[in-house]
Amino acid sequence: MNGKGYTNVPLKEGWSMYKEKETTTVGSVRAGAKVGTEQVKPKEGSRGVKAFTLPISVPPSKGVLLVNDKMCGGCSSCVFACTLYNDGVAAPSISRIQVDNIRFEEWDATAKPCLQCVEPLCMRYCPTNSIKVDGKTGARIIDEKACIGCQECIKHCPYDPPRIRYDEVKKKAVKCNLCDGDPQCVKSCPFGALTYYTDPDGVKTGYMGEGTQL
Amino acid sequence: MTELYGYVGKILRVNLTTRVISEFSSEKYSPYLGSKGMATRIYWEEIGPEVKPFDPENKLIFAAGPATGTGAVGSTKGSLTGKSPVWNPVSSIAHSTTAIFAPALKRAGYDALIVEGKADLPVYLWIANGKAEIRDAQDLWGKTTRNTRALLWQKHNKQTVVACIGPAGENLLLSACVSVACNTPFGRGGFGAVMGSKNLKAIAVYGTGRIKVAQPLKLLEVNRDRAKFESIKVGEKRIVGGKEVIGKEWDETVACDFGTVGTADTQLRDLAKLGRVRIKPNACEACFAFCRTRYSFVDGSLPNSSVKCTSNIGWAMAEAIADNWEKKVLGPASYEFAQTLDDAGLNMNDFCLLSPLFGQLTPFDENENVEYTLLGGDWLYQGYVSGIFNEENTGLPWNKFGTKEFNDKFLQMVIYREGFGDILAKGFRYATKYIVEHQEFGPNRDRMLYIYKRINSKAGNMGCLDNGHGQYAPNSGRSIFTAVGDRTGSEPEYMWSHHMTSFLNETPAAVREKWLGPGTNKILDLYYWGPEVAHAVIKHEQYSAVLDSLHLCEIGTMTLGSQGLGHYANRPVDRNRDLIDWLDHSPHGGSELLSAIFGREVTNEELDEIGARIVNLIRAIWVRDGYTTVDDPFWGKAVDTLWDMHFQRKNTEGKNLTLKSGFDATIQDYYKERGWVKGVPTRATLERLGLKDVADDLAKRNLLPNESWR
Repeated sequence: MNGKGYTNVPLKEGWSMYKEKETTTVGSVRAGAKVGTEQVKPKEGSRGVKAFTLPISVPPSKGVLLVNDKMCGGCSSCVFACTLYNDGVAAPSISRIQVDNIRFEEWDATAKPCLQCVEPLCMRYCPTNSIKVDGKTGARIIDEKACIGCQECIKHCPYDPPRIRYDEVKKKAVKCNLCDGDPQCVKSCPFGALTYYTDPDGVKTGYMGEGTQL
Repeated sequence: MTELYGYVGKILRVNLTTRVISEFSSEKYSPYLGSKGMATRIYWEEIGPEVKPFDPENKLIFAAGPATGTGAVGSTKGSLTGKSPVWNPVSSIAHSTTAIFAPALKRAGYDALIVEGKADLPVYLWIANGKAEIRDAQDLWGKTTRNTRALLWQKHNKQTVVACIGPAGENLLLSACVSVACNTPFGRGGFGAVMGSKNLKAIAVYGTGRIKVAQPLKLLEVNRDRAKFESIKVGEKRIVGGKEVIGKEWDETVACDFGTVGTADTQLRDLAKLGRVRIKPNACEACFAFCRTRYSFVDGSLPNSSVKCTSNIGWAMAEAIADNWEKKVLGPASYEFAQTLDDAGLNMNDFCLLSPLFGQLTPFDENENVEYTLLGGDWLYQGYVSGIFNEENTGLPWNKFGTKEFNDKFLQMVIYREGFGDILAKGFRYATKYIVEHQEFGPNRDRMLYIYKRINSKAGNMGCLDNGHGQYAPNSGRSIFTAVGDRTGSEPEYMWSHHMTSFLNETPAAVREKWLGPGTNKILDLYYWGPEVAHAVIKHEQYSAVLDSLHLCEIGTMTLGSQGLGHYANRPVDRNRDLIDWLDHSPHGGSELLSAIFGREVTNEELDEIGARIVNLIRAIWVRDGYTTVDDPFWGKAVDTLWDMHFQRKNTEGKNLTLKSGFDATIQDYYKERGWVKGVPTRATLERLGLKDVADDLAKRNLLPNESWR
């Protein structure tokens, strides 16, 4: 991982990405499971996630937010940077980077950014095709005009908490757009635990990009 | 309608007796900012001197400030105010602050929450996005704080913030606190007991609302300016703030500079090296100070927790004593003890420090020259080594002091009020008096009063708010601050000495003069007495009152921010932060942040005046509650001074640490600058600060200074 951060983010309970063995009950990927470049899609009808094909093939994102979980203390500075910059208000519930910093007794309280999935399920399940790939950053972004606020994308985000949030005021879904290549969360991290990792050839992270070495 | 920035505009009132829930506007409290200031005003209006702490008429006022929850650096805090049972015989207003709860309350739609009355059966409050309900909590009664939280998360959702009491609060222990999260309580003031007296087990708050900020980008900019960091690669040497700093590997610093345990070489750190404990930094919302450390035992033998200084060092010294100093301090036993206290909902400053942390292990000699003082922990330990406590009169296994056996027995007795524990449960003031008055504590029992006074230096009928921070430091500024202040724990020296020496762009002396006024550099001489000391204390009091009303955490804003380099220099993994620029612009904390939040220029002078208003109002409340008039046969009637013994203590060179004549003169300087007579604000002072109604009320009660006082 070269100290850059982790990409092995566990999926929601009951979701799977790779079929490790034919007989394995589908669950979240075992931590540290060796996953090759060859990605095996779940069989149709397997529990957890439906087999699917994207309507269009999308290029991988050119950038992604990485979290060094040894250094992230869960201070939520990124959360506030996100909504102050993007929404002009302080509203953690619609932050595109989530931190659960209420339950101090839980170990895992690091920042949880959108991973700009290789195969973005949000895009797949959007009935109005309003999630698109940004030409500049490769981020999967929401076209606000086209979004009808049905929240299908949120339901199908394979991560917990969902990285797409629902804005009750606008009645639209909101999603990380990497701040057009200048992520405010990274700039506001007081500890340097967040990195904006870019690669012009594309970074393979998130769903179907799990385990990629950066 | 004008846009409301910073505030959400409503206050929720819940009456547990009548079960009536109502709302009203928070607008009229804006001259008091919010949080501590707002709650102080509500207290003035609603809780009279006739109300006793455990009466249904006493109220719990949870309040947030205009900065709370906005994402401004350190803006996670809120306050809890009410009539404190800890102060006796005169009970009066006390404030307690903690993280997490207030931002949630604001997101749920309220700037403040007032809980009054008393429920007939155990209940909890459920507040979710603008709606509040009183619900049955009989199934939660008796549960520990950790379990109460877990059950309410199950019942509602995991994003719910739960402020609850444990068995300590239910049993009305004066050291009970209101726990909000792991090692995150409204600690001081005994409000856990007040909550218990209302049969209120918990307040669960869930909010997804938003807080408006006038200039969000400006706020971000100020935030970033305050939390700069500098990245240093492992092994690289660099000069940061005039000091050479070497980037270190995580493993070398593990445990380490995170949290307030600092670089302590502890058992837990050794366990971390062995891979048996995981350690990482932990911060509250929107704060860069990382004063907490998150621990996790890999084998699950002890629960995870996020600990702060007190919860870390708590029983460490006792453990070391039990081991004959053979092992390093702070092992799993101390950790477990602290977690037990937290689960029971006990104020750690009172109970975790029941071992002699910096004090001495033998009975102290009154003539010896020591510059340190005793802490809360010494109350118990000195009582034992002075021959006052023994197994017979306390029922405690003293020969096993510092062991788990002792801990368990001790906590069992205190929490469930058995025997000697029942005496302690009523608070240290009560216990001290009880011991002195009861023969079973032997011929030395008078000494208990001496021990108490050594720890709680403020004289008279109110005393200090808690055993942990009631200590007196040997300098003039602290003496005055302790004698007059209501805010134990916000030690002025940090701001004056540590802090102001860590600026790069200006000399410390210039910064000090800039913020505290000309001549204030004299305060650095710990033996100097004069009006400059009084002035610096006043500025510090007002500054603290403003921070507590905004509400910004004083740890981020003063203590750690101040120690900047000292504290962070050897910091983490492969990075180091550079905090020196922090607070360069205003030691008065919030003006820039607040300007961005409100969208208008807020000056330090403006905030300073609000601070003065709050300090004067608190003093008016003290006066109304009897601070200057009650003459207790045991505790006396001293106003704004220290116990006599503190004027006799000498330093190692034989010089008086606190000079009686200097103190008396300086306290008069303090009164003069404040516009007080004999500790009471004059009418002119109150009216100047817009508190005419307060002056009228005090005049009606014949408490205002008049001609006959001269």
